[in-house]
Amino acid sequence: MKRKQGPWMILTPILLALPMAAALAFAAIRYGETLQNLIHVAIKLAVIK
Amino acid sequence: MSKVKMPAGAWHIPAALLAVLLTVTLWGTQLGLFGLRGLTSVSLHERVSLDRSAVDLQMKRIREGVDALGAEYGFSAEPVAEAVTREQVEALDRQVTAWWTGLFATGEMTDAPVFTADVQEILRADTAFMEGLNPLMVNNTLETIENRISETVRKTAVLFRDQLVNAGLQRVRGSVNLPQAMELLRQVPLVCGLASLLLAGLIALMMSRKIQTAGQYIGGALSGCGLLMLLTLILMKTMNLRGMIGEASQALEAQYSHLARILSLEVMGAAAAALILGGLLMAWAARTRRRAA
Repeated sequence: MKRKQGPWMILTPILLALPMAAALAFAAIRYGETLQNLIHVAIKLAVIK
Repeated sequence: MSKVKMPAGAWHIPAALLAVLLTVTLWGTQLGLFGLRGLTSVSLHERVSLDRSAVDLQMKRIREGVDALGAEYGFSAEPVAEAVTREQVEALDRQVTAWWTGLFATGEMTDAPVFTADVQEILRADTAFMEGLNPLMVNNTLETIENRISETVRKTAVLFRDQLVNAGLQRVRGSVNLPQAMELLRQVPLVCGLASLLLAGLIALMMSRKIQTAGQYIGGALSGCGLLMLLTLILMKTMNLRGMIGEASQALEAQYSHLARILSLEVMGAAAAALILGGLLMAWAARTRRRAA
């Protein structure tokens, strides 16, 4: 019985990237707003200076 | 004595785990390379700084600054503004680009370049203005105006990004060893690249009895790296850096947009190349497996 390779060619990269993608998404949700605020403050401080 | 062979399937789990790590190290290599390029590429930053629309905006801001000084001191602004030429502003842009890319390339903390406007002769030729000056204060006044024009040009030409970098460096000087930090950053793509080669080699070794499967894993890791690069790009865009920068400086927003556009295209190209290369490797693995079956 021939094993269909097509779906695995799409699934393999997604499954391999999933752990790091999940970590990135978690970091973005957890720290994204803090980072944005820091950058915003830094830009405003530089304007005052 | 018969040798006990590990069934080929037993290697799948460690090979898959190594493939996940390989995806991460490949992504790290790409990020490191683009990060270094973003910080130290003179050609990239010159292209951004010397973009026609960016320089047009700088010239407009300089003209506005000189007009304001002319209204304050009573001199004719047009000849003074014309003394600050586009070529001088572009030369200053080149110096500033070389300064801050050199900063990150060598780690040597130096101050931003300065600009000196040479407008005293033009001001002395403005008879109406000269007649209105206190004779005892002529040299002092002319020098003050010249310094303020130089500062106007410096502030508008040495764009906000560079002021931000300068301000940031003043703050961290003494607490961060910039040469060391830059050296570490330079090592990231090299270390990740070597780690990627090692991991790919280990996967090939583990699956040596079924080399097509190794190809599947390595190709999958390459394509996975491409997917991660696209995800990174999407996350960067959601941060709305452009909006924040635009609130503070229109000129910097123009420069930032140009830089972001160039880097985004390059990242998308690299991601596409990784996806295609990975796909081709997986397709080869699938074909070879079909032939072997």
